[in-house]
Amino acid sequence: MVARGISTAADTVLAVSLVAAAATALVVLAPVATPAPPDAGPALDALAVTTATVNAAASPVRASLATHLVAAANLPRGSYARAVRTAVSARLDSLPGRAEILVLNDASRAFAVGPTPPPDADVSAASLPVGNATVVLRRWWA
Amino acid sequence: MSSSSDRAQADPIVALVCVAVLTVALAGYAATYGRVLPESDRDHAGPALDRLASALTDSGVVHPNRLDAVVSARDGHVNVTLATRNATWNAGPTPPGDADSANRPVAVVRGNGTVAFGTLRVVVW
Repeated sequence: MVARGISTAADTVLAVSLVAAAATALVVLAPVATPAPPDAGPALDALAVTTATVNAAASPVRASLATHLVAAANLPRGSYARAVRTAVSARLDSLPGRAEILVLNDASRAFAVGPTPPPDADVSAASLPVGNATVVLRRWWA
Repeated sequence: MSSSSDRAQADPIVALVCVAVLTVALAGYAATYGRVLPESDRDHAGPALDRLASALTDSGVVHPNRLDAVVSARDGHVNVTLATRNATWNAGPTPPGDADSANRPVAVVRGNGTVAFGTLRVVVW
């Protein structure tokens, strides 16, 4: 009976060791869950049709932000472009995470608002053609 | 043929202790499993947000005056908040603290013809 009791204890030790090994493997080998980046599509849709009044050289101009962005890309260093950048930044700052707006003319980067995403960031992007330009929104978690 | 008294048997105390130890070990494994692997909890708020955003949106902009009608026409417990920088609209009963929620940026049409950047938030329970 004593020998059988020792055998039962040894079996239990073995079983517990296997369970512990399985739990350790679970912790070590399980993939680390990384949250998906915030969706850029709905944000760009909303930003593009949002209207804003921006001071241009002659008079205030009310238009959609997409129209303002494409117009500012033609003169990216003027006061109008600075005002557009301010108006767009205010909206980008209200989004969760970080966001950048790019306006591409002929596939070149003509105008940008917001920080550039780090190279290792998981980024979601959406684009919208406006006239001859393309407005791109990129979003990622900081 | 041997009698039952000759059969080897584990000490009952040893057997009980072993069963208890194994039970604790398996419970520990289950707890580890639940903590490490992603939860598979159902997302109620995401699909509700999609449906409500679609019902509130026309030509790419959300109409706040539709909020009460859309929320009251929906079965189930739902609270919807539409917020811009200058205004907030809300419809539905007060949600409990542990309710599912989801939100998305939307364009909100205003009475004066302007379109404001806002957020649509849906809470479901």
